[in-house]
Order: sequence, then structure tokens, then C-alpha cells
Amino acid sequence: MALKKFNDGDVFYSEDMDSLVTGSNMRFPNAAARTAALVGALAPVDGMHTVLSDDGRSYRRSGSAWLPQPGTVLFSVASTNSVSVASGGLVVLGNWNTNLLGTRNWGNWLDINSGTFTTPISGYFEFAGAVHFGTPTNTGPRCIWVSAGLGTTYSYQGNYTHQYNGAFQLSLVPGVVYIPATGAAYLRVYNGGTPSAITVTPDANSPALFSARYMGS
Amino acid sequence: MAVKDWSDGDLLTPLAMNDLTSQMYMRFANVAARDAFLVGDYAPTAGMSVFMMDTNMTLVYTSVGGNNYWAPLPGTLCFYAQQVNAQSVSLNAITGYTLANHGNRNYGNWFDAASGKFTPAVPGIYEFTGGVSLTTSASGAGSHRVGFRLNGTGGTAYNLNSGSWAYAPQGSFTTSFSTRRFMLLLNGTTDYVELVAYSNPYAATTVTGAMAATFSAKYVGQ
Repeated sequence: MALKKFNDGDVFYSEDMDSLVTGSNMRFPNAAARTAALVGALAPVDGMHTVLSDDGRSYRRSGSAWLPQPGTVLFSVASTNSVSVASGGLVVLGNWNTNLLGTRNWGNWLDINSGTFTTPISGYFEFAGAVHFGTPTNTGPRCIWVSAGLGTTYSYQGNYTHQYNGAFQLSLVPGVVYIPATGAAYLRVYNGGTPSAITVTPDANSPALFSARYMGS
Repeated sequence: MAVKDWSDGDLLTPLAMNDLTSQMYMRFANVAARDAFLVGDYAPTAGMSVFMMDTNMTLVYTSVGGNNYWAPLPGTLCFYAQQVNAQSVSLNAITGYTLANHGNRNYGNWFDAASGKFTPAVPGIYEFTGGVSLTTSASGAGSHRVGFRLNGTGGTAYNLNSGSWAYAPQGSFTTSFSTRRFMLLLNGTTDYVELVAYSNPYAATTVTGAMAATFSAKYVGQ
């Protein structure tokens, strides 16, 4: 659909109305109704906006997919599971046993069990997190970070501590990571330079936390 | 342009059609196409929204202090930059990071990779985040900090207080930390912001780390 400037004497064609409809913020009861309606002259094009009543979400068309609007929270989860991280170890946190958004987990992009966040598209994502640790018996640098893939090219660092004795908590201030197409991201804990393991020991008052927001492509 | 409540028997006039069109999410291939179309009856007015297909961004025509701008939708990521090469941080001095723009997100080319400066052309509030990874030298120990610097000055409260502080013992340790989420009101002309580091060890520190530093900014609005 092309934009058109109307002048006196113009004939108003059906395609003119189609152009107006497809440029508006269209509302549908669910995804199936949207698919059924947007065919032919109304076929989806990049930048089209829709809202679905069943999930209350706003979508934007990009390529062949309906993507979240930038700023949409994709998931927010918590865990009260303990995880041991060996000396020099790097562990992906998984088994997120509480979904803080009810059942919301956009496209099931976060695998709740493995802790792997997989996106079918490249783009920018904002992550945040926090991890609580039990009492370490040795000093050493400990940190958490989010990284895309198991490499470190695409990553966002969390706060670091050189912890002596005593429980402590690390936070990942919300920050942006670029993730390549079909890439993945994780919340990871690093326990480096120490001779002993350390245990992620969340409890009801301080569970591990992990969340993500889509920031556009 | 005015919003109209339609009634039976109303005439559909070109002016009415143009009113409707100008209130849509109009899609354009690029800035040149947008500026060529939005003239006359379609001249931009405050609040008009357009979707730019070359950058996948929604823009809103915004009036600030008598001047008009095509501003990103509030909450939009303006740029995302990432460290490419290792870099030394001078002792007891604030050092700006050298970062490369990553991906295709750099609205208006406001982030200059050569200087590491983010200089937005729309006045308003911007939110910054960043993360760094430092590796101390074997003989180095002391405090390391990261934060944001406004307009290159060294003594404002926005500087290292906007970030995090870490202490690393003597030895080769990797120190990673993220900044606070931090917001600033920028004037849209000369104000610029950099990601900076400060190191106060006993020996020089090299900004290599296990991971690349990152720096990004969001447009928050007016």
C-alpha cells in the first residue's frame, strides 16, 4: 500500500481505504483471526502494527514475523534452587522455578529448565539479573554476566566482587546485548581464581532473578 | 488537521482523507522518501508518527522549545557500541573508551565511534548503561571504576559516581562490572556523553578482560 495525497476531484478507490486500514493500529481477538484477515491487499508489510485482545500485546511486523514492540518485557523469572559452581567454573543458571509474569514467556524463547534464551531474530535485548551466594570459605573474584552464546563476544557484564567471608549478592544492572540471528543468551555465574567451590544459595527472600526486554532490531 | 467524529451523510473530502492518513503509522523507505512526501497538507505536526523501514524505528515529530525534531519513540535504543580492541587505562586519570558501533543501530549517527562520544541532536532525557571488564596487571592492585562523563569535564557528579567501583588485589585478575542505569538531560546540540574508566592501581591496567565493554543509550523523552 502506498501513501496517497488526496485532492479535490479524486476518485476514492477501495485500495485507498485498504491503505488507511493497513496503516492503522489494527485490533484482532487472537493470532488466528489476524492471519485470516491480513491476506491479499491487506497482506502484512514491514512496520504494520497490530494488537491482540487475548494476550493484550502490541506487535510489529518485521520480515515474515510478528515481533514484540521494542520495550516489551519477554520474560522475568526467579529460582530458589541451589547451584554449585566449582573453582574456576562458569555455570549457566537454569531451573527457573517461578515465572514472575504468570504464564508469560514470549514465544517460549526462554527455556525455563536449561536457562537458554533463544531468539529467532537478531536484535538488541536488555537483560537484568541478581544472584545470591552462600558463605564462601575463600577469597576470589566472583561475578555474574549475561552472554550470547558460550563465547564472550556478545556479552554484558554484571557487577563483580572480590569476596571474603560472608554471604553476598551480585546484581546485573539492566544493560543491552546484541544477539545474532538464531543466537542464544544465558545468565551465567563465574567463580574464578579460588581454590574452592561456591554455592548459589537463594532463598525466599533473595531468589536468583533473570529478565529480558526486547529493544528492537 | 483535526480528529473528526463522523456522522451519516457526511461528505468524504480530500481534507478529511488527508487528516486520516496523517494520523496513521505512515511507513517510509528512508528519510528522503519521508521528507519528500510530508509537505503541504501532510507537513509534519507534533505527534505525527512514522515508521522507517530502513532502520526499523518508529519516530515521533516532537516540538521542544519552539524547535521541531523527528525524535525516536520514547524508550527506543539509540545506539549500542562494543569494545573491539584492548586498551590501556592510564594511572589516576579518567580514560574514555574506544568502542565500535555494533549492528545497524545508531540513530542519526549520534554515536561517533572514533571519539567514543554520544551527541544526540534531539534535546531530552537519555538513559545510559554500560559494562566493562578489566584485567589487572600482575603487579597492579587498587581500585577500578567505570562511569559516564558529560562534556569531557572531570569534576562533575555524573562522572565515576554514575558507575561501579571494584577493588582487585595484586595479581592478574579480571574485574567485571556494570554501570548504574543513569539518566541525563542533554541539550540536543553540544552535550555529549562518554563511557569512561578510572584506575588507581600500583601499575598500569589494560582494558582487555574476558569480555568486551559495552555502552548504550536510550531516548527516554522530554
